[in-house]
Parts: sequence; structure tokens; C-alpha cells
Amino acid sequence: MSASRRQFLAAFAAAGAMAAAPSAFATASPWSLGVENAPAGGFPDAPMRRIHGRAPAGLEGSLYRNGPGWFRYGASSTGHWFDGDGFIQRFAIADGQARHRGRFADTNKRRIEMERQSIVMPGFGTSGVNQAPVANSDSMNAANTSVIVVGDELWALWEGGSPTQLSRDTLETAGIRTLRSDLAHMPFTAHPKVEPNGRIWNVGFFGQRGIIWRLSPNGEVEDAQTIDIGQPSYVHDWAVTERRLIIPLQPWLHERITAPMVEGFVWRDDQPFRVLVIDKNDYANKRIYELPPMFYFHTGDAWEEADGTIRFDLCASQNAHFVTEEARSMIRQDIAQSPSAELVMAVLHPDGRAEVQRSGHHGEFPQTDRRRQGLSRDLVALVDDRADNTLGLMNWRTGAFDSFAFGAHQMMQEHLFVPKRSGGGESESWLVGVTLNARERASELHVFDAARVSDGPVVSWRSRYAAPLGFHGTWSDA
Amino acid sequence: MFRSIIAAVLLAATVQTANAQDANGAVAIQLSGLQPQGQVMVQLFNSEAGYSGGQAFGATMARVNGATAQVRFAGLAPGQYAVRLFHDINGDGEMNTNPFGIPTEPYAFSNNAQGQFGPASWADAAFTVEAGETTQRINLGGN
Repeated sequence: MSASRRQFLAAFAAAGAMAAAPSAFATASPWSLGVENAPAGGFPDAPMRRIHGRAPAGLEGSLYRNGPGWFRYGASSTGHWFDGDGFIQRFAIADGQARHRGRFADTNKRRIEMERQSIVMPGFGTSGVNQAPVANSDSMNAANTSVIVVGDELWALWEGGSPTQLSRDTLETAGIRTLRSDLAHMPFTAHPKVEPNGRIWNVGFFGQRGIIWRLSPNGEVEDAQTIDIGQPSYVHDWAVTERRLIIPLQPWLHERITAPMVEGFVWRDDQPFRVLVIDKNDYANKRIYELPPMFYFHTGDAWEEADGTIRFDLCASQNAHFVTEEARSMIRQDIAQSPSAELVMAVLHPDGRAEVQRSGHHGEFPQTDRRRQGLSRDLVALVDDRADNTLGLMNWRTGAFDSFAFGAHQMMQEHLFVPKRSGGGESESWLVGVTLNARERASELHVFDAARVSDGPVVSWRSRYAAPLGFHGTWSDA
Repeated sequence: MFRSIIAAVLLAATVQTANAQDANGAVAIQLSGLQPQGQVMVQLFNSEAGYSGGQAFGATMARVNGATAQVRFAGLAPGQYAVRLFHDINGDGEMNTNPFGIPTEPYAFSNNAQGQFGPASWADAAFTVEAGETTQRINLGGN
């Protein structure tokens, strides 16, 4: 049995790995609204009130969002924002109206903790109790980081373990979605990449071991192979081009197995930010590039130019301070300002050189037109929670930055590209996202025209609910 | 990890029979929360050294046809014992793991002890056998 101890340790450490981060949080107490428990029973489906503008003709579908929504039982609290229970929301737009509902993912972790009315399970930044019933990574799967629609299914994603299958309509949990029985409990990041043809690529990591998943549009495993990424970097997000997989290897290294997991990571700014590039058709064909040290959670997307130059944008900060400090203190509600990430472009040249081009614009939760996943594009949207709480749209080709500031009372969350019914250009999209209005104590849903962000939302709805801050979402036309 | 269990099962049949005459203790292990398929593979240890080193004192197995199953070790001298087991759902005789080594079949320890991200410790899994029958109720439903 002793030989397996390492394996169990691996299970623990892999399982805690989930994350996402906004750029910063204001100190003001209203933001603690974003880390209050959502009601245990969720939000019953309810109409939202239109507070501005009019729904664009032809915009019909659902924005699904996920994020941590439960943090404490009395004095017993999670040790980190990333360890809250997954709370899935649906914002449905139809016939010019919007509706909002929310429901907790009914995970093993949540069932155990609700029964004991106490935080029990270990996590990314939570130690857990002695004798916590952890059999494998999915025992503590919080299903709290993102969502993806796969065929007729809705999956709530974590990154240390399996997807959790939900009803697209009621958000009711069906259970852990084991993709293949021999791959049960393997990590599956919250950032799968969907090619324009529907094929789904994803990765998962523990330490320097990884798995590359290739799924059909309906979620069947076409291929899954393990790889060695050479160093135990924290990889939350990654990128693909038409031909290659891009795995950023930042110098925040998982050097020690401990509880909570986050304390086993070390920031090594004497080491470069490496980028592992793997051929989609031959995983043995790989190349490593080196950039100056930086910390990141999220990439935009990648593409490859005719001469072989690879570009991908990411939101980079100077160190891991947010994840090691801020995201823990915000649960204690003694939130301090965190340095914001800057949008940068990583450029990997065919001759092996690599460089970072800075945009001068700050923010997080970068989003692109998913019709162009892996393909050349100009635009990336991001949100900035500093100062005036801004939605910004960067055009890398022209250098233009089109933005709208919501003001100090609004907490920004990810805004997604939703293609308009006509026209295929990137700017022929809506940007659809959510804010948390601290003054009104309500969640709001906004739709922008990507061609005119600075005009402000074309329509906004206010919910009767104030949902905790979420991480990531997905749009479904259905 | 449980690869030696088949051999141990064969060897350990002797524990239950040869010592039966001077039996002074037994443990009944009642399992619940099972999927009705495959078999449970159970190992018994009578020392911390054996437990840590994987040297089972006895072993047995039982087919699983419902949500519960029971196995029994008899002829046990009074003392401290611990049990580890797994549910061999696909009946291949091995505790299957995924490519990262995480078990993909349910497993458990006596006292329903949990490991701190590893096997349960002897201290947590050990129980006392005295004259007569001791019962261990182990639930695998949480796996």
C-alpha cells in the first residue's frame, strides 16, 4: 500500500487545482456581497426587470455562468475564494425578455458539508478536517469554475477532476460525468477549447504530468494521452491554434504537497515563463519558448501566422499575490486592493525567439469570438474591476481600445462574444455579461454591441437576486 | 496496491480453518453502499508493521450481488487488527487506477477510517478483537 501513497497525494493535489481571478477588488465592504452564500435552495426561475434599452432583435438564447456560491457555515469557512461550492446560473433571453435562475451543483463535497453544516473537505486553499472522506479527486470536486454545453448536456467544470453533468433547463445535477471509466477522476480544466468544427480539446494537470483530451462535439473521448510538461507549473488556462496546443508554463511551481494545496506553490521569478507548444497531430513534436517571468490565469486565444509565428494574448501580473493572498482574504472579507493584470500579447517566432507585447490596458476574464477559436483575429474583450469598473474591447490590429465604465458601484464579471445572426465579422457580435450592482444589491445582465462598446449597453436587465461573483460562462443559442 | 491480494486470499484460507478449533475471536465485516457487481477483496492485518508493509495476516473475498455483502475472519487471537478492502467492480482482481494513479474502484478501511490523502493510518484503522465476534460496518457509498 505504501507505494500508492504518492498516488493518493497526487489525487489530493490535482483535485484542488481550480482557479480564476478578476483583476482586483476594491476595499469597500459592499463587495463582500460577492462572497456571501447564495440561498441553499438557489434562485427560482424569475423574470428580470428591464432597466435600460431594448433587447436586440434576434438575440435569443442562454448565458450560463458558474462560480463559487457558498463559503461558510457559521464560523466554519472555506480558506479561499476558489473553494466555494459551484453555483450555476442561467440568464435566458427570449422574446425581448430575460429570466434568471440559479442552483448549486449537487456535489459530493456539498452533500457532506451540508449534512455536517461545516466545511469538511480540503481544497485549493482550504485544509479540510482530519478524516475528511476523500476517496479521489472528485470527492472534493466543487464544480465551480465554468460551464460548457456539450451536445444536449450542460457540464459544470472544475479543473482537478471530472465534469459534473447538469440539466440545461432546470440546472439539476445528474452527477459526475465520467468521460471514460479508465480515466475517472482525471483532471479536466475549466477551459476546454472548441474548434469551429465542434471538436473539443482540453488538458488537465497534476504537477508536471498532464493529460490531453480530444473529444467529439458530443463529448465522446476520441483520444486521451498523458504527457510530461517538464515542470510543475500551475496551468489554469491554455490555448490552441489550428495546428498546435499552447501550454503556458509560468514560474509558479507546485513544489510541495501540503494542505492547503496553495501553500505548496512557490513563485520563482528567477525562472522564465516557458511556453510549451505541441503539434496536435504528433504530441512528440514539441517546442519550448521562453518569456520573462510573469503570472497569469487566463489566455485569450492563439493563432498561427503564415510564417509560423504564434500569437496568444493573456492577462499577466507581476506575481502570484492575488491567488496566494487576496483570494484568501476576500473570504474573510478583509479585502485589499490587488494589482491588476495587464493584457499582453505573447509572440513566439519561428526562429525560437519569443517576446511580450504590452497593451497598456488592464483587466481580466479575456474573451474572444469563439467562431475564431485558434484562428487569426483582432479583438479581445476584458473587464477591469479597478476604479470605474470597465468593459473594454482591445483591437490588436489597430491598437484601438473601446470601453465603457460602469462606475464604482458595479462589480464587473466576464462578458462573452455572442455572434449576431447576420454577418461574420468579429465586431458583428454582442457582448453579453453580468455585473453585481452593490448599490442595488442585485445582479444585472447587460448586452453591448461589440462595434460600439463606449455607447454603453443596448439593453440591461436587473435581477431580483444578488448572485455571488462568478467565474466563467458560456452562451447557448438554444 | 492490492495486487498481492489474490495470493493472500489463497494463503489465508488457512487462517479461518486451521485455527478454528482454538478460535477465540472473530470479526464480521458488514459492507454497505455497494454496486451489485464484481467482488470485494478484503485483507486483514494483525500488526502495524504488517499493515504498513502490506503483509496481510489473512484475506478473503466475496461476490457482490446487492448493495451489501459480508465477510468473516475467525480463529483470531485477541489483539489489534485492521482491514483494508476494495470493490473489484470489473472482476479483474486488481484495484484499477487512472493514469495518475488515483483509484477508480471503491476502497475502504476498518472503522471507515480515512487517509490524509493516502491510506488510512494503522492508528485510525485498528480495532480490538476479543473473545466472541466483533463487527465492523464499512460503507463504500461515498467512493
